[in-house]
Amino acid sequence: MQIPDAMQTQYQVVFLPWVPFDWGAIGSSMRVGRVVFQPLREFALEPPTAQFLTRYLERFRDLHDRPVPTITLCHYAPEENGYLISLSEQQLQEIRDAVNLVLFCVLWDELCEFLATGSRIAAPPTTESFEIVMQAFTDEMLHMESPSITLSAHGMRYTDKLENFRFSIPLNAYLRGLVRPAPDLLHLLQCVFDMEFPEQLRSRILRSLEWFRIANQKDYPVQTQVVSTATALETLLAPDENRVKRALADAVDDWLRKQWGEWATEAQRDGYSRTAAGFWIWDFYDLRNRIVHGEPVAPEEMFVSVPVQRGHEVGSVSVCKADIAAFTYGILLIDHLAQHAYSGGLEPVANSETLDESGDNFLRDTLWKVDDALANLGWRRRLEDDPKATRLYLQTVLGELLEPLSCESLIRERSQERPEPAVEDITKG
Amino acid sequence: MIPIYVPDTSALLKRYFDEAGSERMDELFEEASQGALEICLIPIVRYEIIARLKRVENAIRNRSAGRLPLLRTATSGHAQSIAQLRRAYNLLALSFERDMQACKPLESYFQGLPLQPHLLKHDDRGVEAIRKHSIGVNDALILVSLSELVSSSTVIGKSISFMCADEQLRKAASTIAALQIESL
Repeated sequence: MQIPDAMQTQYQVVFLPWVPFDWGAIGSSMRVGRVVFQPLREFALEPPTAQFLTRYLERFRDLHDRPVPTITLCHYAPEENGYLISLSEQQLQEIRDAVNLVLFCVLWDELCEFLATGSRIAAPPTTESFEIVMQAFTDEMLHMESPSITLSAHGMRYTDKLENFRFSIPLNAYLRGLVRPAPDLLHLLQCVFDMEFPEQLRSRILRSLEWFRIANQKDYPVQTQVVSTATALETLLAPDENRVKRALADAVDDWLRKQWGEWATEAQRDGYSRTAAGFWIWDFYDLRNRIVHGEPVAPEEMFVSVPVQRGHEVGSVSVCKADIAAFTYGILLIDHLAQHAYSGGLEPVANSETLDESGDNFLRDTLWKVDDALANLGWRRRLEDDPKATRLYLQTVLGELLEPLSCESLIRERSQERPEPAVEDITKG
Repeated sequence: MIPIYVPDTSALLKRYFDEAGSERMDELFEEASQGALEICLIPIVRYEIIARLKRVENAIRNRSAGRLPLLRTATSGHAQSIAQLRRAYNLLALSFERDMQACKPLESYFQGLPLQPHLLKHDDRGVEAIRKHSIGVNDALILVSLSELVSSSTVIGKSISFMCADEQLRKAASTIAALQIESL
């Protein structure tokens, strides 16, 4: 691989030490905008650089003091710039934005799965897993027997021998299985980095994703998660500051009615009509206001019991309200991006034989989860158990597309396949 | 003795397209879920439905790829989004999969018997049916499947009903001894 000119002695490595990406499923690398994520094992270098990097990266340890196998390098536009170059603040910000986007695809997808099924196969991923580390080094250091490195933190610099450092995985980033950004979500969200994507909207979306990242930092108390998630929603929707709550509820109402029409759950309160989801987000923002304005909020007010259907049985799970708001944030974010994608900004991933394999029908996996989660939250009617309601829904939404399933269409086509009756048969009538 | 119902494609499609006979098919599946009857699925019926679902899927893809304009709803006049079409298709596919799981495949009525798959042999019953009733290839295969089912030793004494909304196929099936016909 190409590395910077030998005369240039300043290098920089940017990486995610802790994310257990499922590279077996993802492939040898993953591109988000101009950023390429690559597992360390796929990165081949000349010996002095490779040796230095190996020594440095081995200092990142799990809770048993073993070097972590999860190092993921983040390259910025490597096809133009090569690898390990010193990046500008703007380029580093693009890497942070790309990481936030991947983080959203992982966390939100698992959140949907949880709300849809009521169970998790592993501890949920957290923001702590997605810590970004940047380390500068020089050509001279590559040839030292015992190089020193300098860390910058809190506006201070600290230099010591490399072997004296040990970077431990945060507890919240540990104890979980492999993660993979939902491919359909990642494909859709990537369009935020398209050149033609509206600049103002891009900026709003990327800032809101930063708040989503903060909201999912499990070191923070639940109140902080509530406030940060509300901020993510506000940043995304950019409402008039005097009517934030109403704007959020209206946005949720609009989305749900647009998606589910008469099958969205409607509610009445004090003479006002909204969707059940609209009232929910209204109350959530009230909760946020009470926290911000210092009113007492009991811990149990932060959680809600959600009924979950498993087969024919209904159980329930306790869910943090911040998580339900984060789910709502995700569907509104996707809606914003889908509008851009529908207008021709999104290219299909590849030719494929079925809808499930195609990129032109993004959200192939996500839609299932979103719809099940909406049903569990009581925000839409559950059609799946009512065949007549299902048929009515299908005929309303698909209209003429459903025609091949009509009996008339089948019999008409069968008649064409059948031998024409002989004349004598016709006369017999 | 638990009765066996064998839906034709014209009957099974009524589960996904609301028309006369849909509610009767719903009742049938409800009773099957309670163990009151069995629904036998003939392979050719499954293939015919899958082919039709594929046509719906392709039509959605053509719209999502911009090759055809999006639909407008009859009620609001708003164009359906790709997500809505996609969601409806998901629901359709889910309903179909669930129905398939509720049915017993034809071959399960021949377990332990030396079954020679009728699709792999020249069956004079198929030839005869085409000649006698002026029917098509799929029709003939359905009739042969029905004939095999009623002659299986595992169904002796059980009532077997063919559910069909296709008059010509119904007429041809009525010649199979011991087979009851239910019109939809």
